[in-house]
Amino acid sequence: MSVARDDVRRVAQLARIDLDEKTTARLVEELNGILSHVESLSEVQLDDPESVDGEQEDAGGSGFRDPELRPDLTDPGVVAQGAPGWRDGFFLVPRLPALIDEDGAAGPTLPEDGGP
Amino acid sequence: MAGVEDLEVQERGPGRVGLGTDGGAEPEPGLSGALTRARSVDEGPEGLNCFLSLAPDPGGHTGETRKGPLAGLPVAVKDNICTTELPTTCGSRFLDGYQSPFEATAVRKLREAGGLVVGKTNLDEFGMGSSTENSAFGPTRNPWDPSRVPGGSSGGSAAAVAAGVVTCALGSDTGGSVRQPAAFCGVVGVKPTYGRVSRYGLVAFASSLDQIGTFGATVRDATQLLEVVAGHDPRDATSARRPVPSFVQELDQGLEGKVIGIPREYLPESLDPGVAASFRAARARLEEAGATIRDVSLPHTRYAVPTYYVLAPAEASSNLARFDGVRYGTRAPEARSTGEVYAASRSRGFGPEVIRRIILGTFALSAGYHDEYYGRAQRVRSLISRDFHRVWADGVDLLFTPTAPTPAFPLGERARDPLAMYLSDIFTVTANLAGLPAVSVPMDPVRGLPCGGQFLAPPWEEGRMLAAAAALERSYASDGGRE
Repeated sequence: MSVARDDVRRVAQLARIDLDEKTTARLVEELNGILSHVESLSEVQLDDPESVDGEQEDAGGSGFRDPELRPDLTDPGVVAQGAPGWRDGFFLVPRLPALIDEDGAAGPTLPEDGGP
Repeated sequence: MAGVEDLEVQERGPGRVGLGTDGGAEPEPGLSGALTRARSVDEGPEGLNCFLSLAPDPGGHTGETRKGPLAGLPVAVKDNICTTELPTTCGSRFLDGYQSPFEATAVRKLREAGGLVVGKTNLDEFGMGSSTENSAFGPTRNPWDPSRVPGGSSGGSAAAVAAGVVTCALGSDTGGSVRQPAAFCGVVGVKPTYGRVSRYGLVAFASSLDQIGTFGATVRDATQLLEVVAGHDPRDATSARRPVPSFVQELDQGLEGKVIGIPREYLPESLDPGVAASFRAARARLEEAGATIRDVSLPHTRYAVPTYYVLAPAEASSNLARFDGVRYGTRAPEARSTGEVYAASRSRGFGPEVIRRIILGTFALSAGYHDEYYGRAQRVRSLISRDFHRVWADGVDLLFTPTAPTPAFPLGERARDPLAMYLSDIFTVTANLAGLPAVSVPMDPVRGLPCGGQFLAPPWEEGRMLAAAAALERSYASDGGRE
């Protein structure tokens, strides 16, 4: 299995990453090197029906915690601290393309202070 | 730069840096002394660059009023472990200046035990790398030879211990990121059983493989810190509901009657001859100390690196989806739509290795390739795990291997060849894939550079494993240190 530029472009789109042509070309080369190394996995005999995932050593009875209310981190003051854009309890993002005005104006701009 | 040349590492031997009684690198007690030393070793263009942020200087020793097993002890923390008082950057531009609103359980525990967080240490971005060269804030240098890498991804923590800034530090180990830098820097590095230490507050890279680990100048230092941070945490559903024995009390057990397996797959012909010689000498010491050595086989070892480099990027591509420029971190200011915010912020915020792994992982999980890559790698992972269980069932108490196939390599040597870099994890990824505890402990140096040996143990047998590491350490100490 080898990948071409279009494969890398498609995967980058899925991963929400913009790649320029130079980086795409480099990644094609690097991924093909890595994938040829990974090819060795195809020689492993996997006919044992039990050899599937979910066979990790039991973590000694780790499990779910009791359902109980406790303080969480949704305190707006705390969340706003790290957010690039925040106002009135909401994260601010540029308007969706479908909502951009016909004259091309994008949605509301972010507040200068980026916080409440 | 002050700090590197006065370590006298060649004369003092590995593992002794920072703990000697002959002056030089011995850490001053308390936070102020550690901060002074941290600034000194990191200073200047040729500085080690161990720390990304430092605690405020209290202006004097603070250890007197603290209680607990780490009372007043300065501890360094890898910068992918969340702290509320210092930024948590993960070595990434994306999180430059990010302040976590919560604290990792491991950090809370070390503070409650009297420990003092000196600062946050440098790492490969989000833990992705084996040399600490993938940090957005510049590489860390090896205290033994500043032209070489300290290993990675926890290179800052390893170098901080080796340079005598602290006697112990926290790191994280997804494929060897505590053990390999410990080996390269001549210190002790422990990766506990998966589930032994809470991952709450550890920024996730590959959740089924990540585990917080500890560094120490000696086995005892690393063990003491592990004992403090280990234990069940309701905030991490994968943390085990198991009691934590006193690992420190078990350290003097010795090796009498223990069966130590040497897996032949970990001694390939391509192994650096110096590492092979150091390993043979360590093996002889284990026999002298009363262990029975048995040659064993772990036949699926050769598939470990390809398995790891499918599974870890796949999990990373999912975990790092949270970095979208909306809720925290960097946002590309020019983005005009939500979609553009995601793509432009991620492309700008992530470095080349992180992008490489996200692309690789997204590919391995994408429609049409999922079964061929991710599904197959999961099944091979089971076979790798089963190899170990067979060996334990055959009466082997511990396994002993080299930690890495070479000593520390020069800065830049493997930076342009990702596959060559990935292969430096060849002896360490198996413990993560199988969820086993493992420790790297210094052996004889190779060409003047530190070299580590690795013990692996059955799940939850950290006590047995650390006792063996301590026995090997005592053996070197008893005849005046390593060659």
